Amino acid sequence: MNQFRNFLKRGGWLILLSLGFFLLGTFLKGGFAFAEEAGSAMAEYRDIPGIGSRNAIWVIAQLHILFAGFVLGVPMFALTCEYIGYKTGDIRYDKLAKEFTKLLTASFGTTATFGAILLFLLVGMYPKLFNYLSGVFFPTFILYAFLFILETIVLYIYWYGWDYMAGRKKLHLFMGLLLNLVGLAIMWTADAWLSFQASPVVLSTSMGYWERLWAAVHNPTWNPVNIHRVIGNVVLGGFMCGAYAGVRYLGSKTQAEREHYDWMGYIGNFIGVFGLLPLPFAGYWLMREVYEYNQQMGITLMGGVLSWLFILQAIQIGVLFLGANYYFWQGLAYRARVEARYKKYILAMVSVLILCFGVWLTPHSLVASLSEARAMGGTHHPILGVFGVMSAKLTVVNLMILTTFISFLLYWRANQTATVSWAKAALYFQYFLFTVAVIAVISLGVYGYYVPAVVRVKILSTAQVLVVLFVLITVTPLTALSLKSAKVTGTMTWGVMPPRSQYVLVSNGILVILTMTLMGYVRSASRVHFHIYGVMRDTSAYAYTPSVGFAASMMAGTTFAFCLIVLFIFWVAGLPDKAAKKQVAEDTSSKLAIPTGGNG
Amino acid sequence: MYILRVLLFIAAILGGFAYIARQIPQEVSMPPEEEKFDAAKVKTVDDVVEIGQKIFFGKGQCALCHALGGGTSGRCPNLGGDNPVGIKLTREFEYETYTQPNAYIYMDYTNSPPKRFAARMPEINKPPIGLTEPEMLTVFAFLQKASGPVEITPEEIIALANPRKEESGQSAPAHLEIVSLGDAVSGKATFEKFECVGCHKIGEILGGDKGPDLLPALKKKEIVAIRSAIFEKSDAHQSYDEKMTVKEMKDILSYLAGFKTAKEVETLAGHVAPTAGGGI
Repeated sequence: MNQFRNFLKRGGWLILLSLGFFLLGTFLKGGFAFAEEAGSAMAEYRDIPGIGSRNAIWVIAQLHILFAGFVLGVPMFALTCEYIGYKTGDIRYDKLAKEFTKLLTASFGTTATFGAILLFLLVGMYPKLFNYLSGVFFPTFILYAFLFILETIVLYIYWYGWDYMAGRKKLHLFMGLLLNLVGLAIMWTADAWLSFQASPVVLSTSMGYWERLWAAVHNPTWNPVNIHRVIGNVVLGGFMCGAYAGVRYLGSKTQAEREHYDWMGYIGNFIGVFGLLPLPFAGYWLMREVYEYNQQMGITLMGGVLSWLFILQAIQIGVLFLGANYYFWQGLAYRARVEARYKKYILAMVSVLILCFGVWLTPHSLVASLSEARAMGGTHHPILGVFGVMSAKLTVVNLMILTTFISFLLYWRANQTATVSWAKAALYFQYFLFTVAVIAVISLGVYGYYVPAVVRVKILSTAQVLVVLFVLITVTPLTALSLKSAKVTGTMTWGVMPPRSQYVLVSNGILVILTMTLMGYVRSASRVHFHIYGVMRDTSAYAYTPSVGFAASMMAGTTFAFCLIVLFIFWVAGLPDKAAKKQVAEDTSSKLAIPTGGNG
Repeated sequence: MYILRVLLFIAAILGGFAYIARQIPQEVSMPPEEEKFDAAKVKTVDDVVEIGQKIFFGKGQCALCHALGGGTSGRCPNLGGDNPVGIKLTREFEYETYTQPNAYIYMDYTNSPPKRFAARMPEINKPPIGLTEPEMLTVFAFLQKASGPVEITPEEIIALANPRKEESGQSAPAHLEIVSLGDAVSGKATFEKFECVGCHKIGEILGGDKGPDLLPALKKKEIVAIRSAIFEKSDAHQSYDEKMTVKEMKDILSYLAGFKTAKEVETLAGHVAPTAGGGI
């Protein structure tokens, strides 16, 4: 940050100012184009020369949604931590929750700003679409505004009342709960608009106004999107916390700071993984609803022009799983110092993860030259082609979830020995459950090759999901109970993790953001050349679906911009602490100076 | 400096992602051309079916709710597969389904005996879909093709698209070309069976006082309105949707359509024996 200040002092402000004027000029140029069009007729579309209306909307909408995800995910994270602190009496959790709520206040304004810009761009550049959506959803716009005001009030009370309500923690926790509930209501309201665009229902003129509105809100993909986003926001909140802790750990100057941020990174990663495990199930439900709604849309997504995006998603989530597991293993090695005991298990798990990762990212049709395709007898590889279908992919995803869960359990159990009489029986029961689950998941996956698609999608895949969920739901409380009165056989040493583990935390945070960006694009692109699928066609110059490379570049650029803004917010939010530390340092030095001043 | 290192690390991840994405096939998908109905292009039955297919998946928005075999749709009837409606339904029923989906009973033809089906289908000849009558007929042709022979001819489509001028110079209502009522003679028996005249007058001399006089509506040819009224839930009509079949309803309407003037009522009054009962 000192370099940045020096850059500003050395005339960098002039460069920034010039850049600002250039951007403003570009925008105004586009604005004049709007004015010329506006006089002629009711425009259906307007454009920003040089940038493109779709690109502008793309970037701003993505930034808004990422910030919105952060603003909604962090309260879930903060409330959970505050509640744990309240129940356990561990003040670190309360401090952690407060530290993140401070970031909320700074992020909230940014979210609203991007939301306002998005609204202006939509009204200005897609008036026909916005007019239609207003006609259907106007009451929800009012509701949204009301909820936003309520959210602001509750957030202010939650943040500014933190110390004031220290003696009335239950009341403060209730405010946190209220903050989350209002936040969810805001998100679900907005979800209605976007899910309607992807899966509209026919709104008959014979329907009453409110009946039409509810039919539009309660469209086929509304609920799956709602649930998917709730879990997704928990994951985002957790991994963003982990990334923040990782960055702060890397910049820590004292052991106390390292210990604090190491612990924070562990909590962030834990919550992120906790959300990550059920997230694929929610995604599966959403895709199943998409297929139920419109097979053509499902085929476009999974087998058509957009299918390569799911290979990119597989890479992202696969690396994320690897990163989350690696961080657990690093914790076993450095914090718990039990690496030797678990080495063989870790080797087995990393092998399973890499194999599963390989299967997941195998495309159905391989990119091949003409001669290669001839040699293979088509674009389907005789061996690898087997792994390119959904049956294989769903199987390996479930195996990766089980493996990550085992990593988590190993970390949980490290340096603890259960003392309850039934501990051994519980352990053997867990071995049995995992063994049966793995066999069941693989068997169902293999059987999926021999049955019609409808059986595979509706029965076998659901059975796989239920098997894994059963393991998660059974083993977690069983382990918690067996370790309740466990004997501690070693200590967890905080603040000793190597820098590479912190870069993994940063990587996990970036990958979650990037995955949100990618899947947001997928959901939007599934409408192909429609603003509202099957109802309102996009007749603008941007009705085409861009290439994967172009889309990925847009996503990468937007994600980088988001990271820069978040870093700026972190920096701004940390300024009061820096000022306080500086003040303390000055006070201390002045007190120390008195005896040596000679005049006292 | 650590911030710079973190930024470079982030840039490397994002750059790697963009690089990988550029290594896979780069395909720009252009939107298909928008289809517009052009009767001049209709030459053969296949042309009719092809247009119907495009409308089914496009302008008609039928595929938003209905599947055609294969997978299942939990929201609306699957129109193909094991349940091909093309060979099951008459064109009259199809037409009424398209244009008056909530006007009267819907029989769920997948059950035996048929059950009342709660229709949620919009009137597709009105906004936002707004199919024209020739377009609707092509959709039916497409559904017929999916399950058997196509009865719709190109000539019908062309005739509907270019309605003939009657002597008065007014265009004839196109739907009259494809909608037919039931059998008037059977309708009389049905009218008696359900004791309609126990409550309804037709003109001044026939029927009871409990229900409205049907003659004004008949004079205005409001057959559809009468049809809707029959199946509206009310104290008097609450169970007609379960007791009356589609054929019976059509026969009654056909019978009633014969009463256009008070004189005709007088003439035809002898055909109907008023009852003293209060009807249903």
